[in-house]
Amino acid sequence: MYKAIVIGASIGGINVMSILLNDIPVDFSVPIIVVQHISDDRKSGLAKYYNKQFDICVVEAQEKQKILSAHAYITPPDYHLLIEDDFTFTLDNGEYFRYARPSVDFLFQSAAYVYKDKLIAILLTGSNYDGGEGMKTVKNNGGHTIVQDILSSDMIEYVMKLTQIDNMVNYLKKITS
Amino acid sequence: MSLQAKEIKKIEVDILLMAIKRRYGYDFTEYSKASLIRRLDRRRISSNLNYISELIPRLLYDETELDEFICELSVTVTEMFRDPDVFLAIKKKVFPTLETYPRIKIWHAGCATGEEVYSMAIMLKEAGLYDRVQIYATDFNNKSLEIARKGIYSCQNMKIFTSNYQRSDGESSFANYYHAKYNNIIMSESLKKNIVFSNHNLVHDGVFGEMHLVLCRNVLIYFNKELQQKVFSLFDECIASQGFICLGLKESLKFSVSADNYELISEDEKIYRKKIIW
Repeated sequence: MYKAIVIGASIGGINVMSILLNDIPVDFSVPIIVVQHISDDRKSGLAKYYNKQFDICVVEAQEKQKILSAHAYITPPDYHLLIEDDFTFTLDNGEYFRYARPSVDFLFQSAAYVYKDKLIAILLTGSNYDGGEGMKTVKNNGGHTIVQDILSSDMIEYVMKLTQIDNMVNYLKKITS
Repeated sequence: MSLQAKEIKKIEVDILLMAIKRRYGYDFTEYSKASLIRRLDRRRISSNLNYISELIPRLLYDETELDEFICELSVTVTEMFRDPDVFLAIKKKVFPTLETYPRIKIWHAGCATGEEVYSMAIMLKEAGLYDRVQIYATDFNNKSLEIARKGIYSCQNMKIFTSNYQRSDGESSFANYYHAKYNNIIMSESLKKNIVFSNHNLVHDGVFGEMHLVLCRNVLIYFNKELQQKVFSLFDECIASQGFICLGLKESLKFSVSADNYELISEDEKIYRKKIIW
């Protein structure tokens, strides 16, 4: 039984994310934690936008907040999001990594340490190779890795060179069913 | 990494932190572990080491390692007028009160390389308050403090700095506050006059007088809840009745024991005001 799902998406991923969140049943049980690269607008209301669109509870992840099941958490703009051993969030305002803040790699890596083989990591869209190292750590800790096959081919190639991919999906319904 | 390997890594981190604490007095044990481990790993990789514990002998026997290590662990990311809305809110909601005091004391706790301290100095100048102010700018990272004291910054970020200054409702031109030379700018001496930069570690140092405004932005996120509480108490001890505290955009007094003593006066900018103490 999986305990958490982490999702990474770049700017182009908003539509894909919408399809995915739309397909999640209201009574889903595990926390979903999303890193989405967005343009440098620090007051982005992405969580509010998603929350209005869908039936599930979508909130912006907050500093030292306890991670609850049946919630979808969006990383606040301009911060890295990390997960602590006691299943709380830590925000990190440090340097960009692979031109990204938030960094998909950082979230995936810290989630992998905490959730180990009870984690599903989904890389929806990618940019500047952010996410590959994170997928590798997830796999090394026994987690389940999924990439979308509409990722750019060099990104897929890059991730596959680093680690094993368990599933390739196109129709996102496959993920949620 | 297997479950066991992760447990071993935890032991390594604990021993490393203990070594630094006993050897140099710096206590990182109450830092947020996830951020800390990420930085330790970065240090390990850049030093071409396999294990975090291999950093220990270097740190114990080579004092020069310590400075670099501290730079690695302390986050010095900042910019002039970072988050312009915050500076705008301070000007609109805090300055009117500060204006009523004959002497004004401001503490920038965790000032890093000082950009936001100079930004504040500029705003105080433009409001005609600078001559009455004493700014204490502190950090535990000596290398950062050195940069802050010199006030020399790369021209590279001038576009952002200038745009931030304008978005903060700057009343003149940012160019009036520095001299440019060889791809660098140096902040005007007149801004430095009432600023004291000094070393202070929020983990174990005490307060140094009553403050009318404390700024501590994006520092507390690196601490665990317990240490956050301690630091909040420290601030509470020094903030004057009806004084102000400004936190990072994603930080909050919410979990603090002293939260009841404060009211949130600027929600998005995380500016709080201490209630009247009778």
